[in-house]
Amino acid sequence: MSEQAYLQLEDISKVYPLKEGGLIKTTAWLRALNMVSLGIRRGETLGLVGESGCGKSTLGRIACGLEKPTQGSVFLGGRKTGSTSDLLKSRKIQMIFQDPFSSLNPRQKIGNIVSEPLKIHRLGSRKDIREKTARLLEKVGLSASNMSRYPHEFSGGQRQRIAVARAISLDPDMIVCDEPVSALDVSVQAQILNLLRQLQQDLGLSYLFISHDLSVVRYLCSRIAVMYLGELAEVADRKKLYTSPCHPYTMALLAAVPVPDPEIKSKNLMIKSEPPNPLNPPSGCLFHPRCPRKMEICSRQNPGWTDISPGQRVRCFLYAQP
Amino acid sequence: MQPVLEINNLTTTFFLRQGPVRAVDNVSLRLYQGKSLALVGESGCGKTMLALSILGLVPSPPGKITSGEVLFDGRDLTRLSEKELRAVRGNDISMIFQEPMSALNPVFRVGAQISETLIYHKKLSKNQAREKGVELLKLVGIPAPEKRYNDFPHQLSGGMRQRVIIAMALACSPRIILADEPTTALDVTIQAQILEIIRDLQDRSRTSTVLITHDLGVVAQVCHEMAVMYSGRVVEHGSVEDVLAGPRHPYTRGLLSSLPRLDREQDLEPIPGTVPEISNLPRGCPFHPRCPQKMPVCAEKEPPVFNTGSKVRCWLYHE
Repeated sequence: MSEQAYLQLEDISKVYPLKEGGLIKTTAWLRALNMVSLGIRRGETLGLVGESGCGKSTLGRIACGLEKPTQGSVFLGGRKTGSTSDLLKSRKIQMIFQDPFSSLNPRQKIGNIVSEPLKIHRLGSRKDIREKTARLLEKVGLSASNMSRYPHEFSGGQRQRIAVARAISLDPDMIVCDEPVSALDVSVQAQILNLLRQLQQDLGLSYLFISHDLSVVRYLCSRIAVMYLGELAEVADRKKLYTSPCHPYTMALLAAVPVPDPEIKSKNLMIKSEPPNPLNPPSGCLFHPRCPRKMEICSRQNPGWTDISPGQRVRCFLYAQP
Repeated sequence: MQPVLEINNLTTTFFLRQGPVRAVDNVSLRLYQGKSLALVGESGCGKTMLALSILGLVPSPPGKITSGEVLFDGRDLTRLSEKELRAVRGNDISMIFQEPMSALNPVFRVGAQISETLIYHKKLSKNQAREKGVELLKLVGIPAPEKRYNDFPHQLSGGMRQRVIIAMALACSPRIILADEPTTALDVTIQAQILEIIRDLQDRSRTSTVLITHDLGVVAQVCHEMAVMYSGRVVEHGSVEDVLAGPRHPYTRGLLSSLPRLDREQDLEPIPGTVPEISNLPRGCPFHPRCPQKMPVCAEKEPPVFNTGSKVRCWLYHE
């Protein structure tokens, strides 16, 4: 997998200091990510799923250079990036955020919002930039005449289109999408999902698609990584993950999704439905306190990766070779 | 069978600067004992306003129930005084709100907030209310309920808070629970558990629920009947099985075909355009500008309800 990976994250760890009371003394360390390695290939959509607080957004922010990992390195097109600003200056990775209401500056006109990246990087004359902005807006399904309007004049779906136009303005190779459709209504959500698909075909983009919605991920992603409490639990091709999930956590997540068919009832397969406190993570396999199939070894040791088949890897003792 | 709640031709109007706007338009629905009715629709379709109208909680002014009736126990709730309504709210009919953080008061312990309803409606003593409150926390699956009873809302996780809200709604064993997007802010794993609790309540204590949601998956999990709302109107109403397996209104069909699904692979066909502003609705059927099957009549006249197994407001079913 790593040989063709466009963006390779190697052994990424991120620890946040927690400061209670004053601003100086660190009282505890929150381990948001622990030794996560993940590669995203050119032109693919990698889904990153997990419950809230599992660290998936942090990983997304590290992938596009908004955050510096405490440990580990990021390789872009096979070359190691020295610092986060290398990644930012490369212009190759952009981001779309969840909330289209807070990710657009309400005091800026749409034209300015979309063209700002071009201006910052001084790409072309004013006229070029203006023309490119118009093309970008049309590319995402908005009329170029909207350039002099303000964000509040647009609906949630249209705003997310504007955010997409801004993200593709610098002709990136990859876009990190952090829950891009979860704030939108169903009918609009489908429009944005199809737009992302279309752009991928037209521009050859790769996506790191962060979401908690397994149905959306199934629609858009070719490969999926399941994250739990800052560690990866399973990485698999879409088909394998949805037809033969291996990790008990993946199974529990899939079983919990409500399906719009009264014949299929969602189930809670986990022993405890609350995730453990990340400030005080359990010993051994992080999932063992909630796991319906835990064994004696699970509370003592953290399982390593086991390859189930080409394109499916899992971290669980159930599959470990003796 | 006699319905527990009967809504007849209910219209809630907001008197705004640009003129009167009907947030709920001529809605008639019935709710039976132990059954669950889903109100489905996208944001701004009036589903929450309908629930607030039932309980007389419409922000007034500018809102006002302008016609229709809500019959509960032989009384019309829209005609009750504030004092009489208070005896109903939280006691016979209670509501679960969407945001578990803003629905709880951050400066009171959760126990006090649960027992408040019991002391007010059931006239329990403080100790009795405490006992009952702990019992309720246990019922909704909160571990170590005696300890949690004395916690403040910020000490609980999102899922726990939502369970506290449900415990509050259950406190007086109401006959009807109105649940407004009860699981939208929660992770799927916790959602599955909350849905189990709601299902269990329907079966065991014969509570009737009105579940407001935009998630058709949740509807299929817990509800018997569903009403699809668009621009303040109920456009399709029938049993969950019928509507999900054979949607009749083009809007319901559009919703289903824009939904990514876990159980099958299908290409998404989104509904073109966006939901119209409720203050600026098109003439005729409010859905016609987005409708793939529109006819000349759709832009002229608003369709009445046609009975085709499910009740549908669409000219396609005009004989």
